[in-house]
Amino acid sequence: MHKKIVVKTLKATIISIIVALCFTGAIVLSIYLFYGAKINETMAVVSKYAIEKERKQLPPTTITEDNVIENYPEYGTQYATIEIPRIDINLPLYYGDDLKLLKTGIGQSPLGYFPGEGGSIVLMGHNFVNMFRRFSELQKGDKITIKATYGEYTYNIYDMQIIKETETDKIPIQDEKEILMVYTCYPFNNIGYATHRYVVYAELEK
Amino acid sequence: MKQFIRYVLSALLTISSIIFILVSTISSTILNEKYVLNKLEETNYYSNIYEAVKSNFENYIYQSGLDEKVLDDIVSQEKVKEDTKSIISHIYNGLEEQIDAETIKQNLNTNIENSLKNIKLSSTQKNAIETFVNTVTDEYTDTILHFGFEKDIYTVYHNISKYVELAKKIMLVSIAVCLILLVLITLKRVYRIFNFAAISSTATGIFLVIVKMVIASKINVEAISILNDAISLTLRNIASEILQNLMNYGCILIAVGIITIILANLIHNIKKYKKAYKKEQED
Repeated sequence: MHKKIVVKTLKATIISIIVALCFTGAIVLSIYLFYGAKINETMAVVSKYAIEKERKQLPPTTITEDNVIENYPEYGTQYATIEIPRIDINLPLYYGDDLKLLKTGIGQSPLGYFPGEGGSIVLMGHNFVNMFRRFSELQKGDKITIKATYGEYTYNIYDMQIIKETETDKIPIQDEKEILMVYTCYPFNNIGYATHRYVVYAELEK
Repeated sequence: MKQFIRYVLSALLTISSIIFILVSTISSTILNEKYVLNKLEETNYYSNIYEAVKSNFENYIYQSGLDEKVLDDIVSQEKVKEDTKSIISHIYNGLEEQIDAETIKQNLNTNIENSLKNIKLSSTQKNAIETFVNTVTDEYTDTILHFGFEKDIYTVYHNISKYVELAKKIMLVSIAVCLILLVLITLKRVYRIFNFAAISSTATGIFLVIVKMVIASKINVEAISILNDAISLTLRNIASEILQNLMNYGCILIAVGIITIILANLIHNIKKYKKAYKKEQED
């Protein structure tokens, strides 16, 4: 008789749990039918902010014969070094213009093009003693070399200008000719907030 | 017919319980000022944001030509804490935030004056210094404020809070009504009330576990990164705790539900057996 009680209890328990599962299933299904799209949309938006800590190894950057870059470097990474022999500069070149990056090297504006692509390349650096403090010593004809992971590019300086911080038209982005524009804050021994920039223009050596 | 009504009431009890738990979780966590302040303390938010403020200041000093020492002690961690609390209070209570950037401005000006006391400055340099000081103080306010639309957050928070509190009350009444009706319908067999309440408890628990699992599978909470490290760390901590709470409530409700179902059915079968035995004896 006791066994009968146990079996009956067990049966009733299983039925009750199945009923509970049915309730849950019905609620989940209703929510999915009525709000499924909105929930998925919200999840997708939130998951954009969940960046994987382990970044996948990106394929190396290469350039084709038609000057097309394949696999651009990731923003914030060093992809080259910049050498300016006249003022003893040999610094890392980062893709990005974050202030954090500019603490340790030269930054490249994401608005411009990459060396070898045939357009405007905009680089910037602080006027620290170990960076561009000696920028005024540069002369027309001096060389700037960018040693990228996919190739080496040498540019000849053809002009220097002091511009206002707001004169962005003096650093034009175009894709007809490969022009390198490197700028730093001016005056070099500035005290306070620097409202001017010293820009060096260079063209790709043939 | 009665059996059908019992199932309907049990289903309503489940829905009410689910909404009540979800709404209570929200109101006791992200909508609770004390909870948020505790979380900020727990995740070292103030010291992390203080470091972020200092780091942002450094970005300006490099291009200013000024000695790095001019930034020394212009802002303290205590001030960062006070200003952050002022913003939180603004969001939760609608009080006007009071970020006193003037103190920073004064401290910075004093440090710069001390650093340049032997140098005769031109009017251009004086203007450049003034712009530098204003930029640094604006940077402080931006880093502390983050969004700049606290008033909008307060309005949204205020509206959500009203609805959340209303929803909580409605759900509590709904739970009570369902239980009372279940008791009235099943007055003669009390164990049945427990059985139906336990079915609701189990269903609610399963639902909460499913919610936790779905969110965890779609969003990598531990990798959430918004604005800066200090904010990201706090948000991750709050999100993880809410999900863990849902999981815990879910497991407890399932366990309590299943145990109650077993006990209720056991009592029912024993009674049935005893009744049958008694009848057999009488015959």
